[in-house]
Amino acid sequence: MSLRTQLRASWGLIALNGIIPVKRMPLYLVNTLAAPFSFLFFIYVLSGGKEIGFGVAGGLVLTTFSIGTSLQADMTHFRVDLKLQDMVVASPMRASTYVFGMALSELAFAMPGILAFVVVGYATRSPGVFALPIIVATLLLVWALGSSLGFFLATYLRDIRETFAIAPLLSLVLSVLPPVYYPISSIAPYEWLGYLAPTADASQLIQGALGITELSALDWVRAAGVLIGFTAAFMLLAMFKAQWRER
Amino acid sequence: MPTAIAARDLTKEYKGSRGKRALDRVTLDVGKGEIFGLIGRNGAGKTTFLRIAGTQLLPTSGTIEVMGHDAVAEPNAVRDLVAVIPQESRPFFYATPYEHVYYYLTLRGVPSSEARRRTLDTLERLGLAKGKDTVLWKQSGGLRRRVLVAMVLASGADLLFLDEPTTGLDPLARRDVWTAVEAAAKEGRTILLTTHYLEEAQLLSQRIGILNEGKVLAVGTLDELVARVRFPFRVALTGRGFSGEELGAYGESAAIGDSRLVFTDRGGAEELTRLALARGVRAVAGPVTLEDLFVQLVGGSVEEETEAEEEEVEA
Repeated sequence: MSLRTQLRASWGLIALNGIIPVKRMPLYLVNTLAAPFSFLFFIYVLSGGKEIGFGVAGGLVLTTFSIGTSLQADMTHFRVDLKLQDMVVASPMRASTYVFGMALSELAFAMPGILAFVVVGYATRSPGVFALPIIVATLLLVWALGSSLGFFLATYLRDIRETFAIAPLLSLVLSVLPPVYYPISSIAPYEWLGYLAPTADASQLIQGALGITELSALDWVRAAGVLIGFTAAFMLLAMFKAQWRER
Repeated sequence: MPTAIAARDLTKEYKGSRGKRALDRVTLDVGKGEIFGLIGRNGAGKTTFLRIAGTQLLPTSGTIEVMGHDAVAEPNAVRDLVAVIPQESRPFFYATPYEHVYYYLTLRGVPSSEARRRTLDTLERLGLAKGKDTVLWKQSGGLRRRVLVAMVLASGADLLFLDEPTTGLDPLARRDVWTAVEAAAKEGRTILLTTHYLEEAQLLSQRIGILNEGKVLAVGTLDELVARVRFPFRVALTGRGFSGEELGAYGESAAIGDSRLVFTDRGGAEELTRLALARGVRAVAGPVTLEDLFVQLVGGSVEEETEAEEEEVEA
């Protein structure tokens, strides 16, 4: 398959798993947006509106990372219940196209939330002209990271119910506990623990871009480096260790 | 006949199966352009064979060539030429039949105008044109299964793997599927079919393979398989008039309620039929069916399960 054909093939998945269900069952969107907006709401109420920037940065990261957990659930469902993965494996579509198409299709659910957070961020913080490219690049990395991890896990799970246990665990470890919704200085002197969570580094970058936290040049490089490193590692894990063909 | 699938000593042992083999040194050829029926009890290894040939599963040992390519070493070359409808697969409940077929073709890389044409044509052939724009949550289970069959038949792939394609369909819908499968074969496509409906395998397949406990028990046309059994004729007797002892002299007999089924040779069938007429007992005689053959060769009904099934599901 040529690149053009692979892109067309991805479109089939975007339509089947993204556009059609969102169009027919818009209530699905609530599922994706409930957690990030709940955190934003609590931060807004508890801080009297002063710390809403952290809620926006955390919300952007959590909404984008949740694409990975949704992907993991959908792919497990498609493989175990619908047997769609079997149909796709035995077809000209390649694993990379399947993951790319599925990850794009999950954007259909997450995009309204991401856009809403960006609008709130711009309305409350008035960041500079370079903020948007930094936010977009950071979110692209979080999207790739979450999707790779979701695909890798989905190829090993035996039942959809296993995703019910793993998805909240991933959210807890990568979104709630680390400094995604709060400043990393809150966990001093154990900031290094926070740096180990790539989602916390992503949040740092967005906080810096929105002007919520003052980042030194070293902070920018460290956060970007950790995020890129984790993303590359998870992509390699998905490429070489995911079980596309069962053993 | 050139081969579409050539398996040699193909063996599959699932992890944790404690030495039990789902496939045990299977050697099997499927010719290009034929409809080949693979039958066997649950857990006999049919789905395992299909999944290895379809490149979804790796064998433990042995070799398998699919359309001239090594299915283990060159999976992508095989994948460009095949389409699969897996056992117990289900469509998306929120999409329409048209969307299923069209987007399945899209994800196989078929250009949109060609995909539209093939989608409408296949839906028409399978009797799905009327409800093509109705979401599947509003449609019957049988129709949902037919949508999956339509997806695979529309693919245009050279080799189709159909794993229990008509399970859950009513008799009329099954006939629509049979007609479409035969039409695909007439277009030169090879079809490997597994089914629990033995009359379906008998009706559609040019050759049949019987798998039992991971091993190939017999392969051939129906006539070739009939030639392998001791009693190639059957006589169904309705009503009393014969004792079990008397019927035992002709071959093997089994009681089914008030009726008796006797497996015998040609001479026995002719004599028994004459006697039945003389005694006023209704008799229907003819060559054995595939189900009779299956019972004689495997020693049980196709509905019974083998021990291997647990391992297959577990894996």
